[in-house]
Amino acid sequence: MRPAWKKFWLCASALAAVVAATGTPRAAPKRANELTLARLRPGRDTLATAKSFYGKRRRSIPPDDANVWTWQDECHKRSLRLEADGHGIIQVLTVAEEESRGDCRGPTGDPSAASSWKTGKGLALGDPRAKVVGLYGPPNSVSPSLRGTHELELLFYAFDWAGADVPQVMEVTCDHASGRVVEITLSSPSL
Amino acid sequence: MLGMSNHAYAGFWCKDYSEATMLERFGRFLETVPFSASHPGFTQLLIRAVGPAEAPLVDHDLRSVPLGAAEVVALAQEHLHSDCVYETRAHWDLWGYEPATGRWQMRAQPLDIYCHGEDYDDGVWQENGHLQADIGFEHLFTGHARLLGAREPHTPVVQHPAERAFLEAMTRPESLREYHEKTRENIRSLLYWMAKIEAAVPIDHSRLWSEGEENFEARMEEILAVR
Repeated sequence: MRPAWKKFWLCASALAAVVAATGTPRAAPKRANELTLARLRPGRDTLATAKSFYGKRRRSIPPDDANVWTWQDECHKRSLRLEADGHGIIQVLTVAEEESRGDCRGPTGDPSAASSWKTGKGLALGDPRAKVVGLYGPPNSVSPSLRGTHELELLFYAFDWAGADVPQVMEVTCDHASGRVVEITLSSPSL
Repeated sequence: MLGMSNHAYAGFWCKDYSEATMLERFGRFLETVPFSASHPGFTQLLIRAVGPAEAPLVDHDLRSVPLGAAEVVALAQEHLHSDCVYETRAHWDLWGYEPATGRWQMRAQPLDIYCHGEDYDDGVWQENGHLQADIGFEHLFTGHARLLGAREPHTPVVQHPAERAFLEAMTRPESLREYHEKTRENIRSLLYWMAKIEAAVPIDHSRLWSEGEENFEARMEEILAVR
């Protein structure tokens, strides 16, 4: 396991443990898990599948690590990042808003980007925070975060209740000021 | 009509079935579907993963542009995993009784087809088959209130005026004879399709069952045997 992932999972486990230890029993709120992000299933789909979906249509950043791929959609100012294991099976999927570094012309101007880079239940970048909770229920934890000068809010969802065969963690980052989603990460169980 | 909503199913267990072969088997199966003359093509493709409690991975509404078997398989290929089920809908023509006119009519009936990955829903394929078809209402193949077949008919508790009118119509021998004929034609359509499937797909074994009959196959044989 690479250090960054290990750290992430240690944090995730600690958060889940804290929530479990401090939670008070009451009526179960609505909850739902998630299987896909950008039409891909972490833990099941491969880099080859991702390339068949996106390889020809958006600019990919040549990877330093053969198991980490990023596609950029400069017209919509967003990126899709995949981390795979040694067998090429996607483990972590992230879609994020970012500053555009190129021009919006040619094949990068793919109109389907906005419609396909979202979760299976339809959560997309730019959606309001309320939609996150409406779709998935209250998060297991909420924590502040900072990116540059931007204040962010991280909504953490653990999906272990849905079984071992589904993605186990989803993180949704919202811009604190606007309350809009700026990043979504979905992770498989097998890290 | 009230009290006639049980469904009937056909299940097929294939030879050499795996993640690598299942969509090829599915494609061959779909090629045998006897499309309705008025509703050709597949009008939906829904793919689920893990189990029925999960939201579908994809739900293609194809009613505006129905697809053929190869195109459905090409769409399914994007999500090829042994823990997925691929559900598609077509229509086929079966005889049905029109209560309003008292006539029989060949009508397009929905035909839902499932291709089960072996890891989907804790191995539901073992019970329902690798390939499964919801062939529609049971009564289209067995008739209502055991009016058809060699045994004495049931005396059902009539709850709806349309049902009462139907049963009254069937007290006339010529009406009952026509009911037998049309139902036998439906059964023959089903058996002909099953034979086509078994010729096209490497099937280990198959089974027909329904929600209301203890032995659906035996009931159909009984109806076919009556002259």
